[in-house]
Amino acid sequence: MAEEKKRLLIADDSFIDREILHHILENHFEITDAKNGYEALDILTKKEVKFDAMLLDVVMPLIDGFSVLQLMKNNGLSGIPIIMMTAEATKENVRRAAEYGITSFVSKPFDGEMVLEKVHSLLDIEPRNTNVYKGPLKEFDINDTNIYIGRLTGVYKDYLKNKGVSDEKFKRVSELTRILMTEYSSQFVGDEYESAKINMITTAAYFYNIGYMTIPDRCIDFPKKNESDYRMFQKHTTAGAKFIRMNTAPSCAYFVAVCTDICMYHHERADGTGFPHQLTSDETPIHAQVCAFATQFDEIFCKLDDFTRQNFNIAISQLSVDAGAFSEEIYKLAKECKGTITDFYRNRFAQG
Amino acid sequence: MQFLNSLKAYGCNIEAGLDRMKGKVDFYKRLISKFPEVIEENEFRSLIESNQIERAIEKTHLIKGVTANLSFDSLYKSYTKIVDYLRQGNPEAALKEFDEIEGLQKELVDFIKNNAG
Repeated sequence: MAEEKKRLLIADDSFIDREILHHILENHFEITDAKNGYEALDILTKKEVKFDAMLLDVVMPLIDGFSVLQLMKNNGLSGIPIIMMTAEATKENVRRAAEYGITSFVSKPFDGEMVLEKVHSLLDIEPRNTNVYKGPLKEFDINDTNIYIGRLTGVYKDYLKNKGVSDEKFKRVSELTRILMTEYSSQFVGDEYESAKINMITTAAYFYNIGYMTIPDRCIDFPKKNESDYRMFQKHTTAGAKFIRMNTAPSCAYFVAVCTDICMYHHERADGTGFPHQLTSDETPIHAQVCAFATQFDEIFCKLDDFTRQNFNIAISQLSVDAGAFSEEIYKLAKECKGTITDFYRNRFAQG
Repeated sequence: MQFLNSLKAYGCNIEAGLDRMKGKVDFYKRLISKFPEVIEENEFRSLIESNQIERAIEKTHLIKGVTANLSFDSLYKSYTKIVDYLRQGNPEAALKEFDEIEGLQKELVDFIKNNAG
């Protein structure tokens, strides 16, 4: 059976430019046109078609590309990967696009091969196959996955060792993810988060920054020296996901799926202003939200002088200052685990 | 091909345009045949004279993009300058630049209308 084509929405006021884009892309994609920004918003709002990506012109009459992005954000339509099209990829345009987590541009006049490459690159990560998450894990699959995890851990540990980086933080994030997911699953009816799956999610959380292996060290260091380094830094999310996805063994599908989610989405924010895909908390898998929270919480909690319940509250308050980073559901979950989390940190650090 | 070759006299880089269209002559001709509509729907002078600068920027920017994609190099260069002048808040310079290419643009539009078939 022929593979279904991915769907693109093109928003450009120029008929000729739209025609050229059709010419370049129509053999590869299913294309819908919008003649201006409002028409694009109208098409997205109706949700009759789920688009895999959007090509958005920067300068358009009535409403420009950046205003379209803002309205998409305001109306919860931000999940779609976007390429901006412009004759002028000025620093200002690049900076404004980056505010919406967009780093992909195609310039006019169009270079057909470049346009195709950009769209393919944007869609490189396959959409989530939600069937993978369903049903219990088989013993054979668990065993096979554990062998793969052993190898992956070896590769990652070698990388960290070569960089002189301790993996303590990753271990803590991993365990914190276990605590939170266990609490979450206790509130959940059904087999969605059986213990074997929580084990896999816990392990997957250890690899949340594995995409760092693919970017230069200068892009990892804070603060970033320039926009280009920041854009490269953002790519560690998709690069990490791509790296994990290289394992296509069906027996490892569950681990690969949750680890891909965690690598890809641990910089998303509840309010849809994160990166790489500006997903809101409703669109981000819970295990990725939990891992994202664990990374941030650990950063703050470890700086406090003692792992008391009072300091737990201080850490939560400090996190809450960044309104929109995490959903209320995540904070509630963390508060329900206050005792377990403080005990875990005390024991962890008592062990040295 | 004769039609396309004739466009070279109006500063059109036909080789680059055809290259962009992957050598598809008919497709290129079809797009070129739409060019007069783009120009006629986006009357520049009246917008400047009625001080609608933002609208003028949008319209000239659109023409700039279209001329770039069609490889109408002479017009593209001028519209690039026009957009820049307008953004710099200098509509007088934009209008002066437009004066210089208005004749060429009109001749090109007329030629396309009469010959694109």
